[in-house]
Amino acid sequence: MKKNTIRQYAQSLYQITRNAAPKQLPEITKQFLFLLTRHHQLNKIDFIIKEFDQYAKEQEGIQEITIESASTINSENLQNIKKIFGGENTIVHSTIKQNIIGGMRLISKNLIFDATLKKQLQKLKEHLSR
Amino acid sequence: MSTNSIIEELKKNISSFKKETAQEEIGTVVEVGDGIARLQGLNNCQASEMLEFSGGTYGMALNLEEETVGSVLLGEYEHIKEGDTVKRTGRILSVPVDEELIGRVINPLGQPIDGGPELKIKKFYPIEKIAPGVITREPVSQPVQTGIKAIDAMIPIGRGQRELIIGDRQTGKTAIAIDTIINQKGQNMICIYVAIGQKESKIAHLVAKLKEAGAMDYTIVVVAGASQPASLSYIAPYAGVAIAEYFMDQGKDVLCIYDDLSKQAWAYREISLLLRRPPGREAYPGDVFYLHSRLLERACRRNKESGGGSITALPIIETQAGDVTAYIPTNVISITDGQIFLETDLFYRGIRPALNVGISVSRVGGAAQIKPMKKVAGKLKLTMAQFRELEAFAQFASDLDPETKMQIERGQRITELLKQPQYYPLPVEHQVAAIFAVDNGFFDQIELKNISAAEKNLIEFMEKTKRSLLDKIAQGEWDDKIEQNLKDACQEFIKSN
Repeated sequence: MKKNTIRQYAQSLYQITRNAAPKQLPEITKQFLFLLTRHHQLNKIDFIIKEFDQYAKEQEGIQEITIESASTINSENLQNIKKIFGGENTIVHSTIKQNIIGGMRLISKNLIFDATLKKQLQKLKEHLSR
Repeated sequence: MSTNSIIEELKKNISSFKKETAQEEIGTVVEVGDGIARLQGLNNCQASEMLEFSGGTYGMALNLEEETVGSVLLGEYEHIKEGDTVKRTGRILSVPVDEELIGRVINPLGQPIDGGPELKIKKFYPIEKIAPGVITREPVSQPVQTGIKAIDAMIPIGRGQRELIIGDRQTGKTAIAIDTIINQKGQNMICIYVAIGQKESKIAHLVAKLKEAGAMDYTIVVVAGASQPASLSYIAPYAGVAIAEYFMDQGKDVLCIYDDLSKQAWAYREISLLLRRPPGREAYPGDVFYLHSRLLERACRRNKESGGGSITALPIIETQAGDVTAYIPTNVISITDGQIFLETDLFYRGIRPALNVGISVSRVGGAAQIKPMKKVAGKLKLTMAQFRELEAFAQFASDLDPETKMQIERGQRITELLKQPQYYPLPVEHQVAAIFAVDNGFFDQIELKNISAAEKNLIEFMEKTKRSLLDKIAQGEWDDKIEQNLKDACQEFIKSN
């Protein structure tokens, strides 16, 4: 039998729990853990939880982005960024990182949009050394 | 340069710089150890793509699986932790290529390791490339003079050929390769020596010898030392041949030596097992044949319409206890156009190079031999074959008929003549003169132990008095008149001694 992928486990867990009553959830979780044990996949539980979280957000249209900036971003800019990524359904985690000098870096899923001064200076260095 | 002009130049450079937001694809390290890493999230990653890990370490994607990407790490990996971010670079693993590399010792990523100035090379060649097709190729027709009598006479190598050097440890495999490099001086050849998994002390010694002989003026040394990760040993031959392809694209002839491919196969086996690829015979992965065939197939001689140039490959394989039937030796024997077989027994009997001429072959090199050598060596091969048949009877010398006795003695003299010290390659005209003399019986009266001295004297004599004849031979001229002149010269030499 072909092994199921982490994404497949996460998807099936999501499908079962989506419309389940809160009372049923502990039993579903228990059965899911038994299933993983039978499939010898319990060691992948961390990845499945991560994948479940991501998949659930995907299905519910929730975008999660991390913003790294050198200084605090004002609410107007934050709203603008939210708009680009999907409006009110966007969850923003904002962190301050002094070492990027200026500008900001957006991390969304597997993509980084790097508009920091540090990156620009790095690129300028490469450009000048050519 | 005035301050203003500096400012102007800087302004000009900066104005040509385009500011843009960088978009990068990232993944996460889920497993790391023993020079490999398993990554998650790199959905669009390509095979053989370079990946950037934290701390500036690079890796190469090898296994593209459903959920993860298996990659080898090309450098230090102690600082890489689970959960670290990995970036895609979008570049297939490549090496810098330029004339600047000549005379340098570099690692397989093209970074100099000889303490010399940094390289500023803008051109890159991918390390993996499909070999030139049939239409662009041409048969081997020009020789690679190794300067080793036994090889140039009996196992000739042509430009674009792949000739395997095989033998146990300590049989002089590297010595043949180094002598060949030294002999390429003035032969319009660029040499690339790829050292795979070797002791750094041996490499240092070797580079010093090449420098001493003036061979570093046309040589590049690519080193993946024994202390470096297996991934570097795995990519080193491909990096070497990528550099060779750059020179071939300019119509030049290149000699590429891989010392040795057994260690590359070990490195590949290590990586494959760590990446959990299914093991096959001797625990090598299933594609270990393709590992070597795709490398050696890149050696070729291209026709003029396709730009000309050639890559001659001299792969080296180390056998264990003379076992040529092991997996890797048989694979490489079947891929190459012949093999030079070195034996421990011969080595300890003082026959150096310890070449077993009986089982060494060159399948295509004969076409590349110069005419005088072809004429002289044809007879030599026959004499040696007869000698091998009769060698067992040598101990009954007193009971043998004069004909057999003569053949044995001639064979012994040829064997003696074919002995050659290391770092002492001979020009082809000297080789022709010496082989002609012994094969035509001019050395029959000379005692066996004095053969090498007689050869030296003959060459000195010819250099002093018959330089024009030697020049003709070097240019590949051969007719009855030249043969007669050579005979007369040998007679004159024998008389004068």
